[in-house]
Amino acid sequence: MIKQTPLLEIKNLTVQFHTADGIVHAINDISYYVNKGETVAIVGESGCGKSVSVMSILGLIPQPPGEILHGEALYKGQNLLSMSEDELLAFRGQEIGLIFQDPMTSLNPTLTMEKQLTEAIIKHKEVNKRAARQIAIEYLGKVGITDAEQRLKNYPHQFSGGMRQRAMIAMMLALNPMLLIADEPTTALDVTIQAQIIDLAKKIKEETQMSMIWITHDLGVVAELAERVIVMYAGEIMEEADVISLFHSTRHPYTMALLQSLPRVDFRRDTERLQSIPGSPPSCYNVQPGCPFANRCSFVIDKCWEKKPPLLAVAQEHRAACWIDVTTGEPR
Amino acid sequence: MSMSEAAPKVFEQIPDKPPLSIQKMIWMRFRRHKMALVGAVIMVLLFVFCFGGALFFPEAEANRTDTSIRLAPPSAEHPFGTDPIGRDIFRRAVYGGQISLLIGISAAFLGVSIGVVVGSLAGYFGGWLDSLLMRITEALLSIPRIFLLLVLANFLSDKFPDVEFAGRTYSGSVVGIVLMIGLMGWMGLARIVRAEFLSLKENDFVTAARATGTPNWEIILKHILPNTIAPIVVSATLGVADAILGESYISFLGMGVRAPTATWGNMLERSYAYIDTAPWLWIFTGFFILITILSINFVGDGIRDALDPRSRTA
Repeated sequence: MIKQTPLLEIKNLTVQFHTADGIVHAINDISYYVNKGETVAIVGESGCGKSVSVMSILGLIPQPPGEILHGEALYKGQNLLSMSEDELLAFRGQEIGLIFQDPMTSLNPTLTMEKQLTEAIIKHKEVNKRAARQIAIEYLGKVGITDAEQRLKNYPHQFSGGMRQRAMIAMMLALNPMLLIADEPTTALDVTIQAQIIDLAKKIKEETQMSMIWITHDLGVVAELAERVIVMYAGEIMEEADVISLFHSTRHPYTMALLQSLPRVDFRRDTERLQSIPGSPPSCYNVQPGCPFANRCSFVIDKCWEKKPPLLAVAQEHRAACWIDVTTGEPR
Repeated sequence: MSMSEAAPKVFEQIPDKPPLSIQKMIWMRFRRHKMALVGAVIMVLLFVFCFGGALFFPEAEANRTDTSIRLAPPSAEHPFGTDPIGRDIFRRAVYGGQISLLIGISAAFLGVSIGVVVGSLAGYFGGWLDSLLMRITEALLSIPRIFLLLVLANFLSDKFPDVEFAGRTYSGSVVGIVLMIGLMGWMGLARIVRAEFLSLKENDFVTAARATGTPNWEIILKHILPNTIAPIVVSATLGVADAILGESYISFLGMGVRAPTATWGNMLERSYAYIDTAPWLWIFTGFFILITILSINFVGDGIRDALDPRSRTA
């Protein structure tokens, strides 16, 4: 099999934040890739660096306090991290779209939807106002907002949360980016709206060749949407696999723990209690030498405290960072 | 028969009332503020008085001296009386009001412009630019305004040539006063705008704008500035009152607008000596200044309440 060149390849990215309390090690030396037309999910607990890992490649983390220590983000072979702010402007929106977690705050309350939607279209598509308006109406229709023509005159507060998120998605889709990054787009929404957004994302996947990075902590969403999954913990990648392998032949204790804490309707018995992961993620201020998950891991051995396990291939297209082979419980 | 036909018609179709536009909502809220309404009406009347009155007699009449009728008390011919060199106070109040209001508006405009630019640059970009601009702001704020104005007035007021504008000649000192008051009146607003920018730039919609490739100047102008419009409008309104008062101070102390151009401030200049003997010298002019400042402040209050986004009542 000839390996295709990925659309986006992140190599050895390390991001820190300099705060009054010390240095926060947000991302420690992570590498991953996204192929063309592929949907990759990044999962993990709050504060594990999911958002920072994508925001930093677009230059959207504040610097200072943030600092990208080293690493590359190759998009179509060009390193985004070495670009100036002006050079990045051409990539934002046009090539890489971004959808935010909270639709209530990601739209400007003082501008009409028309202004917000058409502004970027005019800039990136180089069309006039009327054409941009037509495009906006077309895409609002695509995301299921009826009466788009009238709705364009509204201000964001006249939209419901789900409609705002759909409008945000329409805004990004209208720019036709090659890569769409969705930063927990369903977290702030109630379940029925979540379902709408996920259906919409599926439809987009079918209709376009858009690649997606879907950041979430909802493993249900992962199973529905993603082809590949990256599990992050404390700024590091714990496991990376295609979605079927991840759910059915899990190779990392953290992923196992995450899956056990997920309510299932299909095979778990009523009497079985839902498992939670004991303890909480380690502080990002001082990095311990060993595995960051060691203090919460049920498989822990002495070696885990001393040396950080490298992210190694355990099967084809399946990597895990653990000293233990969880299928046998023996050290690898 | 299908279900929909059989279903009883329970809900009356209420036609959608178009939602209140922002402008209508602001007007509704402003209208509830009775004093602001009164203030607005008085402001309109003052403008009519100053600019409409000028239609009935030329400026020369307001500047004509006639020592034979000096210090005449109010009469039918001279409703507000005459001053120590026999000029008609009513006519001077009309033309002086024009200058005072013009000074107020243009100085406030200048001050607001500088304040907005300084505040948004400092707040948005932060870093050394913020430090530099804010230190300048603080330095200017730490000097008592009235002294600064007086010193500047001493140096500047006769440095400008007379200007022709709308068919009239204005003393160059008017330009000087506008510059002085404008250049000294932006610091408060700059701080407010900076603070607004500091908090607004952290919003997701700013990151969203950046994520769609919006350049910085566009984010400042189109995305953040509209959110700060309330404090800017309020500050602009109150700035007009401040500038009128400032001009009055300076002119009262004899360093402001030079005669023969009248302003409410310099009309008071010599009345101090006649405070008991010819009270009409200061009563009328002082009254004009008083009600102007009061009405502007009430209007500013009303606008502040009307634009306050936290107010939920429509």
